[in-house]
Amino acid sequence: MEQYRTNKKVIFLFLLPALAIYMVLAVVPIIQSLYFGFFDWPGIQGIPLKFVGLKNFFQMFESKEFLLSLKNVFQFMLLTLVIQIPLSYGLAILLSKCYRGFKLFKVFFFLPVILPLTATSLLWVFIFFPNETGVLNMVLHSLGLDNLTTAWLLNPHTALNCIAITNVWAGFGYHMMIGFASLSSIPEEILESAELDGAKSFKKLWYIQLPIIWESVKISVVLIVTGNLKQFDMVFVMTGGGPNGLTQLPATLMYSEAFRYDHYGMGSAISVFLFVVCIALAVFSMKAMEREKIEY
Amino acid sequence: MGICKRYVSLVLIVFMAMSLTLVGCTQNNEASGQNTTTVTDQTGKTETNDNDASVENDNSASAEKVKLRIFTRMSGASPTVDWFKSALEDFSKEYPNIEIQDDSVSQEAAFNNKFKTDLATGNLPNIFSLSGIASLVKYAENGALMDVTEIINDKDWSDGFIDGAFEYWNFESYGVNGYYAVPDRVSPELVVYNKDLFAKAGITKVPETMDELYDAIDKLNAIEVTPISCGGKDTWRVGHFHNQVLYKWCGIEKAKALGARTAKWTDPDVVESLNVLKNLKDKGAFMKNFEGVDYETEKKLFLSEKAAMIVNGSWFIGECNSSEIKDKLGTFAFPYFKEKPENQGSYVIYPQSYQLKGNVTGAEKEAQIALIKFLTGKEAQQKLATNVQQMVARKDVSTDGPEFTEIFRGYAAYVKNAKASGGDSFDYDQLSSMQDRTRNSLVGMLLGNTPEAAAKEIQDEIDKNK
Repeated sequence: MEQYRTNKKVIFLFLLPALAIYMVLAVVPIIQSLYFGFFDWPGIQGIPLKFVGLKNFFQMFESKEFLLSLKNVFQFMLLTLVIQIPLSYGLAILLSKCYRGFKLFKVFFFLPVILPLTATSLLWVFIFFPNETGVLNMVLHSLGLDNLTTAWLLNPHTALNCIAITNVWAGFGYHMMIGFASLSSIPEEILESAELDGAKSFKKLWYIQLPIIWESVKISVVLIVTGNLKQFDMVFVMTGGGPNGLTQLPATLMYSEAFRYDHYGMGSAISVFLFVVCIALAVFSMKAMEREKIEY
Repeated sequence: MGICKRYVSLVLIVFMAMSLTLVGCTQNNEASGQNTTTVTDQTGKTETNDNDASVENDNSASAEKVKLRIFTRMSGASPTVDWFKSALEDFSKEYPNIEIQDDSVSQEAAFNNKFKTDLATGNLPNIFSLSGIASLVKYAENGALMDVTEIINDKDWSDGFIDGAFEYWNFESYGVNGYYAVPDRVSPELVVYNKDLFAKAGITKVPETMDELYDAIDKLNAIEVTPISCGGKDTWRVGHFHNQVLYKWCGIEKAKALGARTAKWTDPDVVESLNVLKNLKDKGAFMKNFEGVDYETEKKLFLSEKAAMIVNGSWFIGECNSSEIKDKLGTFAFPYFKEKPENQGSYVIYPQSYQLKGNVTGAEKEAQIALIKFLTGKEAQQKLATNVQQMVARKDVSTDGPEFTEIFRGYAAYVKNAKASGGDSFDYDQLSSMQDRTRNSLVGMLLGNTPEAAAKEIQDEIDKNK
């Protein structure tokens, strides 16, 4: 058995099916997208592809809709990041203290993660509904705060932020679990010896726990950055990119360009751009968060 | 290093093999997309049993075993879907050699995605139902649609359609000869109102002019009833409302001129039509924050008597008929502008149609023609009108019986009184993005943009795609 485990040919053979599926379903379409980005094609079989060079990419950067979607996605990503990371890891730290009923809270906090995103989005649409039947407006009304009621998903100042809040709610449980698992893996002896040396809760957190779980935080940041750059379903369900394109993100714009307006070249150009930015930001965030590795 | 090279070579060989396999699959699909006919029987005649009577059917469409795919939005649970399924069952009984695969999906995005995929892979269904007129031209140009001129020549079937029904899809003016769709239903859109709320507000006659409508709005607001239920979350609702205003202010020919690029959205009369819509909002015609209200809520507000009017199409007849307030409901045509009496008879009637797959021959072609004639024939359409209370595109279908409700009669009279009719303003435009552009800009205007800015936004979309 041991000889099979160390035999590179056997290892390669076992990896091959997964690798092949990954290549065919992910790598090949990425290459095809890059290829289509240089062509104009209305999506009708029989019409030949028309080579247009970098025209689609130039048009993309000249497009007001694309630039707005770019601004939106960075706002969306930053907001999610700023709220989700402290919230998730804060809760993970609280839960790791093993207070009474922590398992119940763990389940409750994780529950939104297992809900389908479309269901979560619809749920929040009802919360943000514009008239008196909207839960949030109803609560504000019952508290006598009528001046704060608004059409949350229509108001240009609130629409995108509301979707970002929904996104935080839908995903914080996932990162909380990553943090919790990471905190649970810290040996008790380290914390006990710190206590013996006089470290209180905050010092233990700051000098011991956080440095050790930093790798998990890095993973969470990369997942949030890349996941939000390609965000699609939540916006599609909650606002459809509206009102008047105000909540459009690059992924929803890409869908509209390719599948609604028959601009497959432009759609491909946007997807290539997203791909490159995803990789660049993932690498950047990994580098920016690099610290000396803690070993114990 | 040597081992590494060998592995790389191995990986490349595997992918080459997989690519070739996939290409092979694609080619097979392409081949099957061209002709899905499966010949299993060459008898030339088919015997079918219907109501214990043996009928000899010498229609050559049934001579071979043929499989047809049909793709519409008629899926889920509704009286129209029931009619559709029952019509397909009836057809299958009459043509047992034609197998029908119904791929219909009701959800718009799912429908569009599937259709676009079929179109891109050359695997179109035999019969499908797309909205729009000019947006179909590019499909006709490239052979994706069948020119139905030859079946229009079957006068026994085509003479029963209302006059000019096929003309919507005569693409000669776009430089493509032929007719590329078969009319299905017509969907007139008018104002449905609540007689009780009108009486309560002291409105003694239905508004015929816009001034009278403004007056009615004031009176309804005075009794704290929302005058018109409308929602902008489903942007087509605002788009439909603007169609009414546009045709009454500028006439239907203007919409055609916009599509033909002989007029611009920034023309003063078009901008004024946008301004009218904005003024209606400012006058309090719609509920607060209506731009974020969805279609279901919009209907609910009207049917629960919280709003006195709704501008809606004949697809709303069923819900009116089954509502508790059906006896309180009446209809009237959208009011006209006193300054534009020439447009009084310009009505909004959305034409619906079926398209047939192009580039088909032999038994498959005959089978798809047989199915379309059956679905749009007098017998099936009579059932659609009687059982579902839908407005059909045939004049030989009777709509006079006692089974037709007052609401249905209102819609029927509207169609009869139309001097000119048009569908969506972008129906005459070949640019696919115009549907979203016009509707989004309308919502943007209602949320604060000026009519001039909205018009410019729409015109910019056209100019950008020149």
